[in-house]
Amino acid sequence: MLTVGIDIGSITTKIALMDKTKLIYTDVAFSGYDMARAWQDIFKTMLLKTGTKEMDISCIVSTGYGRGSVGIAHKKITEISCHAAGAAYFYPDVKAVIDIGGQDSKCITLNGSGTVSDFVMNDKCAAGTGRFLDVMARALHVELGDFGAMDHKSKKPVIISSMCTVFAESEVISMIARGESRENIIAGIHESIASRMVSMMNRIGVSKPLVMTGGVSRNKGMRTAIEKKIGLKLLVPNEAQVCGAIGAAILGGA
Amino acid sequence: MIRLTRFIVQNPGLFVNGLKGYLNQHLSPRLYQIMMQYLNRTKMTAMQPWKRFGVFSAGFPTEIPAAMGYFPGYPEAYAALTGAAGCSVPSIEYAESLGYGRDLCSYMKTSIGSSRMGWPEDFGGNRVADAYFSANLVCDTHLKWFESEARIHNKPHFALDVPSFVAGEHENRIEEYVDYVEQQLWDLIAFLEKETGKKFNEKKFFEMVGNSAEICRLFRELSEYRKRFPANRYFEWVRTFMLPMVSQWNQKDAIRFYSKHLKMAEKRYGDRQTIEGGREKYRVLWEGITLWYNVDLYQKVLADKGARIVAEPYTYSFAGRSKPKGSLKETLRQIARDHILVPFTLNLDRRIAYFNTLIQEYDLDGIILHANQSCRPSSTGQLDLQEALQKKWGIPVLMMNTDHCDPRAYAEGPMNTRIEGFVELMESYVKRKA
Repeated sequence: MLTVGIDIGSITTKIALMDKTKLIYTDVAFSGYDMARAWQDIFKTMLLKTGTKEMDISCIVSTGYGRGSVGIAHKKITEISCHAAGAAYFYPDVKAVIDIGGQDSKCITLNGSGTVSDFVMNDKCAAGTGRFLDVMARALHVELGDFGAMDHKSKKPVIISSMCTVFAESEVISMIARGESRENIIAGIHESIASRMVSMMNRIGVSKPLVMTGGVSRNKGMRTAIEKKIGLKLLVPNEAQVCGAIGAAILGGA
Repeated sequence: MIRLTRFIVQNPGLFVNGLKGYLNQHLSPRLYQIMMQYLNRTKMTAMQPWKRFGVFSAGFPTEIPAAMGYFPGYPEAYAALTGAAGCSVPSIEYAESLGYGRDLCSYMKTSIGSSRMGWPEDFGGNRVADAYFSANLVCDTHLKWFESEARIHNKPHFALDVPSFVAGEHENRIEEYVDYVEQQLWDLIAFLEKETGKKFNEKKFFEMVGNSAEICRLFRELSEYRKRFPANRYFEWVRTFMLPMVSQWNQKDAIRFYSKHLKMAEKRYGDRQTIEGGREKYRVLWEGITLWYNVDLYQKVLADKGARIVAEPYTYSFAGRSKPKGSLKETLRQIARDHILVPFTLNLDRRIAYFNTLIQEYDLDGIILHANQSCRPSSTGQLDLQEALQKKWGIPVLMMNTDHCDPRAYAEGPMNTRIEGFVELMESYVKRKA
């Protein structure tokens, strides 16, 4: 039984094809301005690359902020349930999931059977999200992909005091003007996001095994900062960025 | 009428939007008529200088000044209606341009902005009153807001200070607080006698307190029918349905109005707990002030998912008036007591106990806590409340960070994700309950 999960986020669109419990295919593309176009393109590419016919797919589940735009979806499920199901696919005994996405960050707790028992999301503010890192990368003229390595070279992370993306950007710019090293600023940014995440985790009460999903999980500096603050090891599947889509495909077969 | 006409001429687009906003409300023609009658009566006070017009904050014991002839105007009610009409943002922005901060109460900013722009009551404006009456039992902003309005217009201001009965205090302390508030009510009577030059009208006062108690009794009895399946009324209805009780201006009419609805409920349900239609898919409690600008949240976003708001301490808090006692002193003491213990402002211990009762009585499947950005006092303790309820019942609780009258604080996309996530949690909870 083939199922497809399509996760349309504010920055990237992800797709996963599953045959019952076997992961067949995943892909990531930019969401861009036209979300409908984004999922249609990634869906067609998947059909082409895997030789799958649309009629062979028994269920398509959409998730993410653009889930409403997937007209062919049989079900629409929130990314909260999908990330939980995706994390449980890789780590069946997972107790908590943290997901830092482009537009929001969330902490999810799971009960024994892999279903969501509670969740908490960031307030209506971009601080602590992937978008926040994007803005900072632009301000620092650094590729986001280099953040992890640069964080590693930091000797003394700066303290980012502002809790707002816009103000934090100004703060970062003034630090650059002061001659602060980019490495220290990047490490400070990671610590600032980690602090916000840890407050959310404490609010909901996370315990191990703790899984991190979402695009930001690829950033080693970010992972280390969170691990240091929460005192728990983060489990990160190779497919962390597409966990939501994988979870959606799994829930499509449930 | 002059102010309304001027408003329409100056803001034709906003007026049309406002009309659409009013028509989108869950209002029966009769309720709409009552609402308009109230607004029109407020406007007419300007043409009747021999009649006194008082401006009151929510929760003030209006019956006392009303017994001395003060017609009650409520800036918060006007602001709420403006929010419901979808017209609060220009007023709020105008108030902010005057220097009022973004995190201050959006009722206050709507009222101040609209009043300074000369807008009518239908769109949040407030005419100058003969006296200003504030009480701090539900809101700390009231005191400074009304004090400054009174000072600006060079009018008298009476501030009623109602102490908070905080968690951990001995029960005996309530009596001390009753003494304290009772003394202020005597001061209020003296203030009114001085302002009007007349002796306090006890007969009228007892009549008003009696009517007020009857209105509240009817409202409470009607609320009992919301415990049945399906609930008699949902929040999108009750939030405007409470207007006759809140405004207190035409008590006899309010009694007739609520009596009629109570008879309808009695006829509809009889002795049956469940009637046609049966239990809602998800029965939800809403804690905090409603989102006035977003009736669709209740009647579409939540309702489409089968989630209906069947209980809210916010509306019930206005229904706590008791019958008059044998003497003026005893009646004033009772009023003091009623104002100290209000569901909306219960301390954490009492609040948790109250919610535990509501979860059972209303057979709730979920709770939404409105963490109100411009009303932090009403949001204080919500995390502890959430933790206590989840620990005891495992019930899903959604914390919504938004605002009661400022739609700029409501982001639809992120909010919908939270709501859908909350509904998914309720789905699991209902299965577990069964």
